Amino acid sequence: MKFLTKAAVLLNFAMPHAFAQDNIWVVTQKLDNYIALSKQEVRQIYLGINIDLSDDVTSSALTLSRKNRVRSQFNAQIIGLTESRLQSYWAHMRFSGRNKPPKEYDSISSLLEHIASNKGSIGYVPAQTVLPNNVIVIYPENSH
Amino acid sequence: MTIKGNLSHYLAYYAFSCILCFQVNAQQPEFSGFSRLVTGATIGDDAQYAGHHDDFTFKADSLIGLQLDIDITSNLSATAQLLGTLDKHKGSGLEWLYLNYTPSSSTSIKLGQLRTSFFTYSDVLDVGYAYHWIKPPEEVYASFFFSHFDGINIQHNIVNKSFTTKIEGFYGQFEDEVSFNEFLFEPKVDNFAGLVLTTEFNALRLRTAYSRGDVSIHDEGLAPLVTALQQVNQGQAANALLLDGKMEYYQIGLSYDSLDYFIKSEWINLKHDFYLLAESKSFYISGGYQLDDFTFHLTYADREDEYNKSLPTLSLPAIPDFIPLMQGYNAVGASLTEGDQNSWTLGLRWDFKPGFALKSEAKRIDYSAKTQADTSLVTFALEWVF
Repeated sequence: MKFLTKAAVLLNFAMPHAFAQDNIWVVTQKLDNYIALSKQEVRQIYLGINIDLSDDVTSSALTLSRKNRVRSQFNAQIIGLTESRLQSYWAHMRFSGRNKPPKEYDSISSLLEHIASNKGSIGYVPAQTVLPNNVIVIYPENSH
Repeated sequence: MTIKGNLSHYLAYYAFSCILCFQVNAQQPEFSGFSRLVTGATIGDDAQYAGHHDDFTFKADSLIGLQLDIDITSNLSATAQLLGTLDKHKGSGLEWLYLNYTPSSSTSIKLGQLRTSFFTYSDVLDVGYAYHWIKPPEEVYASFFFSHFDGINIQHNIVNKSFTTKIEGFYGQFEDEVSFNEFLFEPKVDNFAGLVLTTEFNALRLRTAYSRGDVSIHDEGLAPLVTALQQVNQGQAANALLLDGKMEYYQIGLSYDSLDYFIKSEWINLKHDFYLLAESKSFYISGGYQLDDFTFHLTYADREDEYNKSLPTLSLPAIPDFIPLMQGYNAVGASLTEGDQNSWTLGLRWDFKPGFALKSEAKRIDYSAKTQADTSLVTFALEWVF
């Protein structure tokens, strides 16, 4: 485990549950219907299995590049796999023709820009990040 | 591995040529690939194990694969995968060529030359980066099976708040070479069909699979004996030497993936009515612990073979004319040995750079049949995906 991942896990154990979950927000563009995802659903979307967010909008995961600290936090807290195990998982999925890894963004601002203009795109940001007007938090529930 | 002229291939070919000729509608093709260098040696004796001798060479499992994915429309894509290897049992060429249609976010339909999914890792055996071993346990993965088939595969996912279920069904046929117990067969498999159910509950994953096929293997070496037996009215004995019938595979896989450790296991059962092949029950259990970029792992695997039917006895008078025939027939019966074995594998995987992994493994294999000496093996591998 990388230091950051370890720190994230320790933080997860040390802090009260609600606070730990509030480290990360999973966000998407606002739709007409109410959307709230469970941790399991976020995990599945980030492991390549998309779900319908509304009648005509399907989820599509976006991620941050490796230089972003919040990525290893997200891997540890939500997906529950280290970066190398996740890469190994994606090799299995890609070369067995199942699905491909999420598209990577270098910065939180470019990620949010994409989400603000594409329905169904899902991303994660550090909690308390200032979001564009049409972007909402869908995990954890009741955090915004 | 040559392409057979069946309908699914023509369709996939047609689609590919359309895409290559009129790229206007298609997105930019996406290239990716995997490669591995594997070397190993048996320790202390002249034993040979799965292509490894007592000197280090890179031949046995080293390979390179290239994959091309093209999105034709938002819900239709095409994929091709080419494999290059020096292993004569595996052979180079086209492993995959299919069209993938996704009518909804939860359903996908593939048509063409596809990979088989008998067991958890059978669809990525060539992609070493996808698993922690250098080779998944042979006790399970060296069973009689093939890597690809021509046909259709439908997958459907059900995701809800607390768990995910994936249902996969396939149907098709296969006609190519298969390497099994160091022998090369050329089976024809019709009505190859199966169902895979996978349920994930957080880090816990349960996979159950059933596959079946009507297998027919023509063995040139036995043909004269079969003919001779038929000529002397020993039809029952002659038929026992034919490999023609139903083969069934049952699989259960259970794994738990935590952040710094994992446990993976599979249990399989191969069933059929053949006299000349053993039915087998195999399993492995593997545990790993991850510390920074290092994964330490230990695996125990076991295989038990059983011939459920012994060859019918000949009802021929012991006169000199029949002696050679009887001897030939009895020799076939005597040559059937059960491949019971178990092994311990201790290994280390080092993910030293994104997309790269170095692996080393020490393995000890114990054979029940005393015709084969127990073997120890050391292997190293470099894995690369791009």
